[in-house]
Amino acid sequence: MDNEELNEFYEKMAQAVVDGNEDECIRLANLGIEEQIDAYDIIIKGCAHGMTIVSDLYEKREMFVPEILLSARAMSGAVDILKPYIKTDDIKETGCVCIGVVLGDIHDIGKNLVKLLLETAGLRVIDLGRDVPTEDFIETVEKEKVDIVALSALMTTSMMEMKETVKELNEKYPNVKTMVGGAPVSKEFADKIGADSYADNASEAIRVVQGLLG
Amino acid sequence: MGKNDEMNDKERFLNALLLKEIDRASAACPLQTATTEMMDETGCFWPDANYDSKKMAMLAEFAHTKAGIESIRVPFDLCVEAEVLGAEINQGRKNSQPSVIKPAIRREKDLDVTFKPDPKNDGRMKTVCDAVSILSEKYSDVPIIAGITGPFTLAGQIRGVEMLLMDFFDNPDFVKTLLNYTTEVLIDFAKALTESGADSIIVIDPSAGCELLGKKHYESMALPYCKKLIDSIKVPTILHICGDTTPILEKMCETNADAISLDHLVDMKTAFDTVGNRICLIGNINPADTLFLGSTEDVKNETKECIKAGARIIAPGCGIPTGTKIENIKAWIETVKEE
Repeated sequence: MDNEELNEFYEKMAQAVVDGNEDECIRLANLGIEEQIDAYDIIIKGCAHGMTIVSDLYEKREMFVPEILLSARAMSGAVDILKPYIKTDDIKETGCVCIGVVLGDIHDIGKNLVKLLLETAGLRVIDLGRDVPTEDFIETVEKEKVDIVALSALMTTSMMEMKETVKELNEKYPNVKTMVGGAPVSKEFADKIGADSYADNASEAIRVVQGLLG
Repeated sequence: MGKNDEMNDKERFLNALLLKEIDRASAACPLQTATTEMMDETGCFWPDANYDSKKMAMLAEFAHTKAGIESIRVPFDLCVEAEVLGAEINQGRKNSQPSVIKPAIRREKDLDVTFKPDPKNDGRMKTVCDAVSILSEKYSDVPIIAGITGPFTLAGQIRGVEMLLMDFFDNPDFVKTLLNYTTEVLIDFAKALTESGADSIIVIDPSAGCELLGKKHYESMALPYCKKLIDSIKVPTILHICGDTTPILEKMCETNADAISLDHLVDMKTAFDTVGNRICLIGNINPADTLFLGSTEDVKNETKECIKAGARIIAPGCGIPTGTKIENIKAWIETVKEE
């Protein structure tokens, strides 16, 4: 394939992700392998690019979570096929984010979207899941080289926990940045509890992370 | 009753809901009211108070007797129905609500539409019905509000929200069957709560919010089922959907709810200009920034703004955060009484 054909191929993959067309994603991934296109490039220039378009459309309220999940599934279909072909020296992780939904809260769709977008942006993500106690965040920061701890909450009743977790992280690990998000969370709340950053939605979260990593 | 009041809390609340004349705005709270301070003072703690009707009633009434909230509201969480339908629940702790940790329906064939719980006898549906009975017998002039889950949210709880949204593309007929089922279950629960003495039912449908579904999907996946449920309820109803619901306010009116409770993310004035002439608006003090972390002065100012913007019932935009100080709740109530 020459450059023009290659770009056309990436574009097709991106579109298949946007459309949530899993069959097409799988077909293109297999075709890419056959044509000996670099697997890492297909993921970054095709799949991840598609997810960026998806998150922009979400921000513009032109696309909603059901379609995003469909896109995510389509992308995974391609990534699963491409992964074994990635040369390990291709992977340049630009930072490490530890993410989780705070104690008392089990709503994790938002957190999962942020995780997905962070991973496609080339970051290492340690996902602690949902209903995560402060100790687990602390323990992860202790053991791993974490740059940012990202906390999510959806219920107003779990916001007290978010406050506690940020407080303890700030006391014990002032160099590790904290960011918070989730429906009831605001910039004002983030400031009041001493978090370093706040993101209003999943695509903003990526920009915030990139900003914090500077 | 306050010294200048012409109506009792119940008359005012019901008149406010039905767009009839009121002497002033109501300071009822249709969403979760318990705080850890209230638990300490009553000795009724979560999770026990979620499973024991007497403790539930005691903790709920304390929000009225001590903090001055002009209603009494049960339960304190949103998993009552999901639990009865077989979802696995984490009971939570003193400062956290119970939550669904594992859905009940892993495969399509796990759904048994013939299983209809008996709300007056089964699980925590019974606990809530009993608490409503205790409260309605004790208080004749304070509105007793019972909260139930919306059909879409309940379907998401027993199926898993992400699975449900995928089913929407993969197996739309199953989604319809599931939503019809949760609607039927909720119709029975609402009927039992009303028979137990609830003066008003609030339907809470957080998963149907705009951030998740958008307007188009709201119309097909949530609205028709919510309307069917609300049409079946004999007492005045309130619909609460979390998040910024500005784009679906008109659609929410189509459910025939008497009132809409707004999240703090909605601009009350905009909402009032859009639908305020045909439906009662409730809200929308910022529960986290203002009620939980703000000063009494912050609370007073925001309360005044809500009244000015056209809300007839002044309440937080979501459940009261458990760490909220009673003095902040009092600041909200007193301001409503003074205005």
